[in-house]
Amino acid sequence: MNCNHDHDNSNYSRRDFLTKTTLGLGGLSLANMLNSENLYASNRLQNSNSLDLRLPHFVPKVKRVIYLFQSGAPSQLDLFDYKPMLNKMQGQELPASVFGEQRLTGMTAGQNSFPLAGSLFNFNQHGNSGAWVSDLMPHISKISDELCFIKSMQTDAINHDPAVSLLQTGSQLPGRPSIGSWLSYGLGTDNKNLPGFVVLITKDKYGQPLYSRSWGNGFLPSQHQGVQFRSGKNPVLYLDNPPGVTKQLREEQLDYLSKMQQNKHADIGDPEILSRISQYEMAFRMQTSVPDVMDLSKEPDSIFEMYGEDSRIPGTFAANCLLARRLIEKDVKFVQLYHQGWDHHGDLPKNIKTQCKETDQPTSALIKDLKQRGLLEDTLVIWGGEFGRTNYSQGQLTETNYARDHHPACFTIFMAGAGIKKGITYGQTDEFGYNIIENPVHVHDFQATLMHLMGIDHEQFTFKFQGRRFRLTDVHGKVVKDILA
Amino acid sequence: MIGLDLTAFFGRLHPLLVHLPIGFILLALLLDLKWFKENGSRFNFLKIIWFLAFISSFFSALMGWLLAQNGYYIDADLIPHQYTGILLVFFSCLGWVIRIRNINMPSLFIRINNFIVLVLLILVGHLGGSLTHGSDYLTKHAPDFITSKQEYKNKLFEEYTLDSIVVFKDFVQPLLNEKCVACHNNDISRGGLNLSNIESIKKGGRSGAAFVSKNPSKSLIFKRISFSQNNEKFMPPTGTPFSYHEIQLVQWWIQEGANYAGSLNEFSITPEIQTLLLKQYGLDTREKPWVEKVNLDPLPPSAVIALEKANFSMRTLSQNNPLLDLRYQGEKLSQQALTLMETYAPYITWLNLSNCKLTNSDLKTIAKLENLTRLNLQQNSIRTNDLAPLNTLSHLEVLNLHSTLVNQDVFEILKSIPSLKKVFLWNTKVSLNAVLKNKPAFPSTELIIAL
Repeated sequence: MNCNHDHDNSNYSRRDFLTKTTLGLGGLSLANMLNSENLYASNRLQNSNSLDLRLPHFVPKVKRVIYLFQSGAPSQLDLFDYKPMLNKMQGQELPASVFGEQRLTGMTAGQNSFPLAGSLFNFNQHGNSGAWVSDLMPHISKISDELCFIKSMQTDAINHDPAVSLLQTGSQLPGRPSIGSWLSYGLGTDNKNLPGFVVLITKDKYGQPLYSRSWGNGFLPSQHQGVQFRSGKNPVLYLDNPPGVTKQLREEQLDYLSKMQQNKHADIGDPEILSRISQYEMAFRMQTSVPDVMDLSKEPDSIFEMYGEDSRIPGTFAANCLLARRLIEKDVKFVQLYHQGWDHHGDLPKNIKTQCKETDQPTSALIKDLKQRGLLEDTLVIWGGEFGRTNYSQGQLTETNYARDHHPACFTIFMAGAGIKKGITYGQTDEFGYNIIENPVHVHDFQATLMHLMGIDHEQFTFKFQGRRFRLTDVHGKVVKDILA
Repeated sequence: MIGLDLTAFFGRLHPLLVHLPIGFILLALLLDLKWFKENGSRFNFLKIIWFLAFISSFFSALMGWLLAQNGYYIDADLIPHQYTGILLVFFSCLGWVIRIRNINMPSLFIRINNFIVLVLLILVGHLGGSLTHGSDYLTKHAPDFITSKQEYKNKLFEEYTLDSIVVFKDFVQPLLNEKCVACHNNDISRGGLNLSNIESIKKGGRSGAAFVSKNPSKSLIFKRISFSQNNEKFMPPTGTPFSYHEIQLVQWWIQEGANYAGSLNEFSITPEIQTLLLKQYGLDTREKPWVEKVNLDPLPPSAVIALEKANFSMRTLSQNNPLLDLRYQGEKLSQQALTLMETYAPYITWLNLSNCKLTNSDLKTIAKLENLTRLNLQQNSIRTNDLAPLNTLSHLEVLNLHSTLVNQDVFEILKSIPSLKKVFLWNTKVSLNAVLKNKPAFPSTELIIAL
């Protein structure tokens, strides 16, 4: 139980209590008021299923988001940001004028040489838009006219955890609510049988650790945290009834538990109790809805072929992409995939091939599948990591091998779907792929734009906690209007 | 031409030389202060400095005169600088003369002269600076309390409606005023051209018409402002040239008929001009989507409860827009649900009835939803003919028919709904070939079958 909750978000704060009781009348009606259902309904955004009249601020372009998070930071220089200059100057030192005052990680700070490393992979322009995509992403390159590339993303953090936190929660420090939680809190769920924010993680991938706080609710009510669906027998842990407990028994048990909790809530007024009741109820409904959505057996073979053979193996990125589509079809608001293993500090050419093989076809298939089903009309797909990688080699540069360190000053992401222009490339880096020379998009700008697409003014959408009004974008962020359709 | 070249050569020494008299004069004024002349020993020295002040200001003025000959300056800005410069030469000369030993002037006279020189020096320096760097050079980056920061000049357009904006008066004339009218007005009309009012603009200049309706390449102003800046006929000769967007705007106005009285709603707005107006003037000329045009009272709370009971999940489009985004969550659309849909028909604009066993008669009810803009009918066993009633939906933009039983005859029905922008036909009896064949008949509708 959260006894340290914020007064502003409780049903009955100490201040309210004192005001009401000292007015005399209030004291008499206090018990009654605390039991009143009306009070819950009037509390802001408490009941996520009720029609909320405050949000969105304006008509949304996007109703649902699939965020394909490429954890570890893929090398933009080997995938999308084509820099022939690096091949031309292969092995030469990164000029000091380009280097500027960029800080380094502890991994390369000791290097006394920063040899430029051109990509080993071929780049071509694709589609009518002429987007540059390397041979590593043959499927993505085919749908490049559906995509909006942002080549001028930048972040403040140079290490994984703070960078992931910044991208997912708007702050480098852990503890703030994730984007999906903000959206679930603000917009509620559209399907009362499934959580509004679902997380799918590719299994058996290693590399930089993922912490559940990346999809945590922070200070928001806890029913808004991301719910992780796993592959295998129990997609959601502890969701099934224990052996010997029947569905009916469970239902009666929950009804009784709910009554007890209502009493407790009436007693101390902690809104986390309501959160918990709603979670129990959601879990009960999910006992039938989750197996249904996780059951891929009714998908035709053509779909598996489209997503790649991997998609038949539960827990792969491909299978998760397919699941993401199924969840979106069921109106889950925010589906977050994580795919680890992009942190190529060694043997980049070899490792990036594996990563691309695992993600290229499913990503492209997902976008195509959403498109043909009409879901791309109101769904946004985002693909990207937490920062970029350096244009110089970490460690030994040879003809066939190199590695790249973390580079926060620029990276590439792409998006597809509702509300944004398709077939465009926004922003530009210099010839060395090191600094941004046109239209920088900071992480907070990206978040502001995402909020804008969902119909939310990121400056108006706040939550008061510990005396301060918090927003996803903190005090930053500008909507990137140039990419809006 | 040699003479002219030399004029230009020496003229351009003016900006170099002007800093000498500033130094000398300031030094002279400084030494004239009381605490510098405890004894008279500096008198001769002071005389020399005043002489230098005079002679350097004299030559600066001379070079300035030569520089002015090339005519790149606007008279209105130039003349004050010129005359204060000449006055400064005169008074600094006086400053030197009164220090020649045998002239004994009262100290009051000296002080008055010093004061005049100081004032003139500041004035002429400022005027000269404004002339070369522009009048806002000094104050541009000054803190707010010194200069009242000007809001972006075009900001106010955001509140206007299209019919209240006169294209010439609000977009073109301000550009002419800013960049041309200084040399082309009632008093000075270089090249016989006066751009300060509509009558004289229509008359044109000595070389011909300023604007030729619908023909930018014959309109002299458009030609002159879009020349290469190295061309001697390029206009304006000084100050900021017309920007790309400004040229684009003038061009568009000419192409649209160079209409002096026409308001924005009478012009056809190309996509480029639409972007330009939005970015440069904050003026949104895009047509509003239907969902933003509908005006309805808020939905009564009883409706929300009733719809939720009937197994609809729903959401209003935004806090100020009571239109509904509705999805049926049940397995088969119930009679109760249909009745409710009819009751709240004007409110329903996005409707998702996928996979709920729709029948022919259900579609007749759907056809009554006048404000429907998105309709999802996918995964229902509906046939082409079942869709016929939908032609009453005059605002329908998106129609999703994937995984239904519609066939190639569906195109005839789609033609009866001209507002359609996107139709989804994947996994139906419509073949890719049929879509390709029918594509030309749907210029403004995207038919999506597969990517």
